[in-house]
Amino acid sequence: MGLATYAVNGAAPSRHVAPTSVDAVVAAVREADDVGQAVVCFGGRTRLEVGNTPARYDVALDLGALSGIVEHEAGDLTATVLAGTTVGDLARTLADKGQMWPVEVARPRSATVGGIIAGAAPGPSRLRYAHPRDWVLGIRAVRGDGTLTKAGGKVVKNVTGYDLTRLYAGTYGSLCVIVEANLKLWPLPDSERTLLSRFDDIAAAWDAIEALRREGVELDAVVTADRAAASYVGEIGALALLRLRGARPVVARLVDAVSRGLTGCDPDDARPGLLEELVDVPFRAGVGLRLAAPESRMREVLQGAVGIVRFDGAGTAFLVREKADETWVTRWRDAAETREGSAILERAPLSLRQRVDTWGTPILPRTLAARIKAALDPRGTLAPGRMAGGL
Amino acid sequence: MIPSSTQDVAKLARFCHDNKVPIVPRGAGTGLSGGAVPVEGGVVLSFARMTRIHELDAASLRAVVEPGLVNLHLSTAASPFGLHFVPDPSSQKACTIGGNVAENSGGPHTLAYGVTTNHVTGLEIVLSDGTATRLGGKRLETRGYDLVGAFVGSEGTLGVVTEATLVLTPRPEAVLTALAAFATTDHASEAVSAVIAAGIVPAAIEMMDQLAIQAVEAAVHAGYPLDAGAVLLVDVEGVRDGTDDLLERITAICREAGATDVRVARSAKERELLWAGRKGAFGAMGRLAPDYYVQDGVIPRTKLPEVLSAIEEIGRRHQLRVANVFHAGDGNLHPLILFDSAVEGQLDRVKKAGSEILRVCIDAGGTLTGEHGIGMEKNCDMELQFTADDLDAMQRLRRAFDPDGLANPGKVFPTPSRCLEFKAGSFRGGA
Repeated sequence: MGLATYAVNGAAPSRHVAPTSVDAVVAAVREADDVGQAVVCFGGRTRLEVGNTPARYDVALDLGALSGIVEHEAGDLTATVLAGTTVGDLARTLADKGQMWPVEVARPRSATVGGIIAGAAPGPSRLRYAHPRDWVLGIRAVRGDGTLTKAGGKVVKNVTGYDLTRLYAGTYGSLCVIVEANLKLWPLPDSERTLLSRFDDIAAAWDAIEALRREGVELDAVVTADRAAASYVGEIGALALLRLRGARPVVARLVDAVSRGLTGCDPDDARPGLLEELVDVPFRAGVGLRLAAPESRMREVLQGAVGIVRFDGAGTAFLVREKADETWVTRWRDAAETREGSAILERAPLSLRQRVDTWGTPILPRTLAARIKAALDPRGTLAPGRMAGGL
Repeated sequence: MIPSSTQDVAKLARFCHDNKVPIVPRGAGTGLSGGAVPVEGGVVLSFARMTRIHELDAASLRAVVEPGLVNLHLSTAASPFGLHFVPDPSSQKACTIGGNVAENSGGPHTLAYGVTTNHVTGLEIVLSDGTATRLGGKRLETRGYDLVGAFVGSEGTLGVVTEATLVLTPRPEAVLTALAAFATTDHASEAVSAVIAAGIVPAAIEMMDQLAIQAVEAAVHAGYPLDAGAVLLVDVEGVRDGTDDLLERITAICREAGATDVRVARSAKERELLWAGRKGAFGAMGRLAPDYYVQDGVIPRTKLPEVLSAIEEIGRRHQLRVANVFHAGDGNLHPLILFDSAVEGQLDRVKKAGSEILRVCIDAGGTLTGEHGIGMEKNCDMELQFTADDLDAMQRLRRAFDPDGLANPGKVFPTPSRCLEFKAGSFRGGA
């Protein structure tokens, strides 16, 4: 592949490496570190553009070929996979044994396990299964100086030493290169139904879902979209998708409860794939701003917004549109940051990226964040400048 | 010192920093690895005056609390909202949230819900130089590095927790408890594996062996079968329409694995009594011996039968009685080595047996500690599990938080003075 395909937010490398073994990753990082070259990791490219443009970028480290399921211990509900394994391939292997890695993200055919962990990828599974890092037991990772280290373990409970596994999650290849992960698995539910309801406006959908949650109806996943966002998937008007999963009698009872709660909006089975399409909307739009806030304040944050895809109950929403300027980003960033939230510009044209910071106001004191970066990547080899605060 | 606020803690930390004095946070002192012991001297911080719940945000399923709050008090306060704080160590009536965060505490119900770290989204901490900072918040996302996960379980060595934002979980609609009796721990282990293999993850599966049953029954009178070689205590939770069926499936699996009796608690009172037996198990050991030493290794749950036999053999070889009360579903063992410290030489044998047990856990693909922590107890064993490079990565993180090494020194990492002596002893030659 030509080097142009390895450009990241306008920056292009001078070479690329596609290692097929952990040893080769170690060698590649060490070589770059020795000569002061900067490295950006590639997985399935689903979250590659998240973050600021790297300050330096010489080597594209493509981990797509470092893939495969090393071990699946079905009896222990654990698996070990190489970082470049796609979540789609993993799901198929696990499903054969009635199991799953309960981390659901956009574009599963491309998204890799390493990339999902490094990029703290969001998805509808956040409602029930929280963050990807909650389903990682251990990680093998290469530090900025090329040292291969392991953190955590293979067992489901472990407090031996620091939990570096959780530290590495969401660091976008800026502290280490994740090469292998031990995953915690979960049984696949016996049955599932996904119901679609249509509303005049998205606020009515939120009201209905809040009422269901207050009643204690156990929802597996919820996605709501307003008219503008729904138009990306060819739907007209605001909609709510509710997925219910569990044993057959449980799902039957939940479907009943949802149907009663949503009387008047005719909940019906959603067409297959609609939920996945909605999750994909932020990728289809020209601009995607990822909002996170306490669930109790999300509606305040979203007040007056247009182009909303929300994972209700999970404190996550995306604002999508075709074009935006820095005033728009600032408006919604203020709305989130003043309400204990954040607004990360995940998808945007280069012209907008050059005018605003991707992350918003850093929370950590800069000295502490900088010391952590320096501790694990002393020479600034790994994606320098990509993280908040220019680290 | 007994601070009342974050500002107090920051002031104390600054003072300690200026005078190069270590700072050691202490919750209720229920920890089992000596985390709150000032091994290198210094100032011990008690959180007895920082016990408030700042906020219960039921809609967001979050609570913001001070570190001195007793674990169980949070669930009590959240109960009117139909919520609870899931991590439930056996010491939950006494242990504090600050200690739970520092040790990444577990409990029986971590099988289905995860340990403390899975229930913390935000912290306010004070670094050893007196800087107060927030990590994370109520949401799962932060801007920049998320240090919450690295901080939880760091045993006070990265700084002091002054506030925690915790996840609250809706109470399940239905909870069922069953007690299954088996002739041997092998049969009970087989049942555990078979349940998991059938795609069932109950809320809890706890095991007790015969010695433990004797002690617990004498202390609590919960109705545990005295003639059983092992029992499993199983909790099933969820939507009512599914729990009966689930428990039936578990019962069938247990019978197939050789259960001689499966008893389902008929009332909340009976449930509570069965659980009181489990939660009071360590205390009940006093009936069997003046002292006990509890280990906390974790193994892949499919390895239970072979590891339990190995532990039995280690006990026999050292002429020590070993009772087992543990989180079987997680593979988190708690062999209790019974002894009498008044008998000369017994403690040495106990320590030796303990180390050998840990070695067996590591060899089975497991880990040194599942919920009790490393502290000053197992820091010399860290090299069993981690390479020098692995430990170096942790040390680098430690220095980033605490460059002067004043935050609870002498814990987690091998210390040359203590561990050289340790290595020179019988340990390396063991197992």
